[in-house]
Amino acid sequence: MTEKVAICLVGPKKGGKSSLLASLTDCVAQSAFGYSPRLRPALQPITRAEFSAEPSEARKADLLSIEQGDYERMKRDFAEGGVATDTLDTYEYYFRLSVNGEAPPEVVTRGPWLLEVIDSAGEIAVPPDGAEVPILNDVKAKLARQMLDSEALVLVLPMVRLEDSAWTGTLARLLDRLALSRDRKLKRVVVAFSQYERLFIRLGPSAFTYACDPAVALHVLKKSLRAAQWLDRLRALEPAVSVRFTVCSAYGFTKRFQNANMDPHQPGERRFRRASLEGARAYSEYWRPFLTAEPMLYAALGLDSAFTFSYAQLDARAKESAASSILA
Amino acid sequence: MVAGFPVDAGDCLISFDRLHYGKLAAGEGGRVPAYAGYEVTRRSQGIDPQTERLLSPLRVAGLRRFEPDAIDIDSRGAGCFIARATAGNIILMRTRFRPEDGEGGAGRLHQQSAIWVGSFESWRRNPAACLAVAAQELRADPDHALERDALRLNDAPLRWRVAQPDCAAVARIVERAPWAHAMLRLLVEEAESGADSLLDFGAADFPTEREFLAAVGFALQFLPTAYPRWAEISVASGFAQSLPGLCLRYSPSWRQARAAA
Repeated sequence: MTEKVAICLVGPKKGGKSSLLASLTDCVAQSAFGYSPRLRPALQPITRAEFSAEPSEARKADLLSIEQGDYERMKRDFAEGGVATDTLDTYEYYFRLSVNGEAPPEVVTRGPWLLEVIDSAGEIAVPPDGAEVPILNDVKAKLARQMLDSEALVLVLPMVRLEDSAWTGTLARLLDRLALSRDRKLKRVVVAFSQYERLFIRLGPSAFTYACDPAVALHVLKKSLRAAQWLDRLRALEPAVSVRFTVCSAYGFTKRFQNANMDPHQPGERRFRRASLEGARAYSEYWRPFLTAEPMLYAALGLDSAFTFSYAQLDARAKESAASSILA
Repeated sequence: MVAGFPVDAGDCLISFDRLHYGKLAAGEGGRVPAYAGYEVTRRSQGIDPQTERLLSPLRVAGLRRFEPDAIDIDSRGAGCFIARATAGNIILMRTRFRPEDGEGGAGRLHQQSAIWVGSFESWRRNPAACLAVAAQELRADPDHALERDALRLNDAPLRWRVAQPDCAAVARIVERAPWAHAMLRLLVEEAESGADSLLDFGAADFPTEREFLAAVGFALQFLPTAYPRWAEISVASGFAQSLPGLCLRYSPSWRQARAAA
């Protein structure tokens, strides 16, 4: 049996939506996620035709062919510093997801999954508060329809600019409208706090060790949610919709050295790279994305990892902290 | 205005409304401020909503997505150029990708497009002047963030007074020019076919885009206004994709390709 899942990526501009998507297949391939290694997920970009085809028509993947599709181009752009997603359209990317190892039977029997991930510019769904941004064409209507038709929503928020008030009002209103909509097909919402590596810049080679601790992620999420009370609106979606919070980093942490993968010696925001090489090869030696698979895997499978947290988990810890604070 | 252009008695006026799509910039080098996102940064007040729908860079270029690799590698500095007719209009567009941290920067890229729209009749009667003006004036540069919205979004149309070309002189130039034969052969042979056709030129044919556009201008000026496929003629420079209809295209990086061949 094959299940099709539409996942809409939404968030403010420069939040890391496209970077999360561009690093997704590498994150799965490198098992740089918080799921059990025994889950053994496999994620492969496919074409729109393959996504749309009936299962019986689906051609066998050519093992040796190199797809020069939209996703490959996106990955190449990401390697070269990134290209801001324009507001001229929304952009769909397609994947085949399978779980080859241990997973609960109720999950395994639904697979493999054909994913349609919809990427769009942050200016469309989450423009700055109060700004009337002139955008060409009716792309807003298209994205609104896609959001209502999606089974999952991945909300990507930049962790280090969370208190930036330029878009919080717009995003809060979007969540309100979503909660009130009767036409939605939404089953899951994942709030992914991106750019997680930036919190660990000063920890040098200890950065990865701390980042890998789910308790640290939980603490960071609790603190982030305190700074973003408007995210409480997501509670209105429960229990019909499962809401999860997680952290991720498209740049991740360097292999071997374990520090945050942000090279201070290069202009702009660049990953560490081998100087003698060009393009993606230059970065691959050190690049290990961090948890960028989590939002998509949860959105598709509904399966929790060590780094996906529900309101119940966040609230439980909050109560514990409140109690212990009396004794402190 | 059009240097070296053979002039006939009388002038005429060509006019374009314009729309800029991209991001606002500020400061030296045109850095994109943190608050600036994609938007229409300049619009002539005369553009009606129906026409504006035609001015999406995706629609003009006939692409599903505009990526940096849609632009010839040797044209990435200034950007690609497209001229094509649609729905009674001529649309001229230049698009490039520039770093958000300013010219010469190393950061994330964003798309910057400058689009002019004018009457098709004006294009059919003055193709040489339209292309010469575009070669000189159409730049995909970001608008300045300090300029007031009310001014940028209610801009006046662009107008040029151009000299009517001397038909006999144009004919003499076209008859002698080495590039003209290939262009006119394509236009004549495909006049009735209805098929799409692409004719490519490279750096071996024209050292610069401006010379290519001047040559195409002469060739099209030579074409009678009654030519049946006028509305299907498109001109592209530095654009890696082909356009439907009769497309005359300049790809500067062809120099290397031909040398390698």
